[in-house]
Amino acid sequence: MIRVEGLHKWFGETHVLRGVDLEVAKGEVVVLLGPSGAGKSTLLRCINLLVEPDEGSVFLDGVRVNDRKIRPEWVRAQVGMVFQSFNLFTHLTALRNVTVGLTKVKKVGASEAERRGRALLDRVGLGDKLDAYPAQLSGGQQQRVSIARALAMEPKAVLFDEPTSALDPEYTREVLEVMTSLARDGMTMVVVSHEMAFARTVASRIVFMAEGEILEEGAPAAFFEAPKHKRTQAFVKTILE
Amino acid sequence: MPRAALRAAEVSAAVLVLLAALQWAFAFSLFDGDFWRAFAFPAQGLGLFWRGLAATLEFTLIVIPTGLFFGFFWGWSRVSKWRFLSWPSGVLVEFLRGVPPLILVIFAYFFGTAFIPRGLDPFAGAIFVAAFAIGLHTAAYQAEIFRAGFQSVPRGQIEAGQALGMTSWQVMRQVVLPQSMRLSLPPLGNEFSNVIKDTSLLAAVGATELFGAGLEFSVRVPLSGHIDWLFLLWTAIAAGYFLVNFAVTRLVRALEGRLAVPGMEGAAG
Repeated sequence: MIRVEGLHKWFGETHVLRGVDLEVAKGEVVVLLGPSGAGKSTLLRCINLLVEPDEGSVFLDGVRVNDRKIRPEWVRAQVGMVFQSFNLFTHLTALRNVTVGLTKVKKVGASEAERRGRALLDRVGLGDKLDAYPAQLSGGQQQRVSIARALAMEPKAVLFDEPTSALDPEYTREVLEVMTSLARDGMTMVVVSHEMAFARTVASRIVFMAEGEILEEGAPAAFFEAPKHKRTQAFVKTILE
Repeated sequence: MPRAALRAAEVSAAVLVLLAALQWAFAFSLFDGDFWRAFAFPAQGLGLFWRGLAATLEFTLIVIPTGLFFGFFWGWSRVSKWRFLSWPSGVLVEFLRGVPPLILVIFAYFFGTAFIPRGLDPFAGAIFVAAFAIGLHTAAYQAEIFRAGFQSVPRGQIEAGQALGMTSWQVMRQVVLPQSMRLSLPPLGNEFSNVIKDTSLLAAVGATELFGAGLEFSVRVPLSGHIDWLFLLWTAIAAGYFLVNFAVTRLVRALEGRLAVPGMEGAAG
């Protein structure tokens, strides 16, 4: 579904991505692990073109999307994104946050959009918060609304950029529960996270990055119990302590 | 109810103090019959006043939309990542803010004939172009107000809009504009209030708006022998500007109320 080939990105002098190859199949949950500054978020942002790759290719369902002929909006409407700091539209209610993409981007009628918005907020356990504004919600509630917002577009895949890093443990749990149920339902997900329990139990594959490169990837069990690369061994050792 | 009564008492007290101050400052008695006879304003004077008020309203309706239109686009292009957009609008804004609006009015009146809309006679047309110049002058100030508003919207809000597949215009319309307007409206109201009063500069090129009408009438006053008409005249003119201003600032206040976000009262961003 998503294929990344030979991806390079420079921010000024800094070489952030140094030739990344990654393939994500339909229904797969890929968790990107690695120390900060490894380029995980940049890789994620290259997939929906929030960051423009300098070299290499990103394919979505076989179509090369980092191409002058492709409108980035067309790509982004098909790939959802959940941000570390939620980024809910502060001037819109929870329901309007979920429906705005439907009505404005997909041109779905208002009543149909509202019906779907209500259903999605129900699904993330916020059916009673339709009219609340982001400032009136807890962090965990805001992040669940933002997951519903991403799902409303019926995306082919959802990218999660450290979705629980800004949350208290209690809120982290409620967000991870929603993400787990989403994975169970077969959603294709690419997740940058430091939640090891989630990576172990929900991921279909772990991808370990350091200094702009993928050093190792594999099934969670193999990754955590028998890491091959020296950097990976050191990383697993520190997180298990 | 006691609150309303208190308010009424406050207003009456204020009016009494104001009247006393006016009497003292202008040294004439409101209880003087001659003063009140001045209300026998000649019919042509009153007609002139209404004409002036109508013209001021008309210029306001030219200047504010012109200012908003250009102010919005200059403000937007100044935050653009493309230098071929941000640079020229930066130069324009600097220029238009740095020149007195009176000079702009005179330039537009004499040298703006090429911009006179077809169908307008040369005199009215030249005044129209001069009013447009005031519109551009306020646009420069409004551009800075819009720019400050746009820059106050956090990067993450824009990215969230983009991630949904919104085009840059949709991000502007759905996310940036409604959020930045909460911040921009109070200073915009201020600027509207300034520019309404700036339309009086059009009198310099012969427009009969409120101030122009006042000038026109006041030259006739000495001939009439009723020098106290001057007080009435300029009070009426001041009241005319105040009314137009008040209507516009109330409108802005109402818009502010509509953009208020529950849970974010008094919060920035």
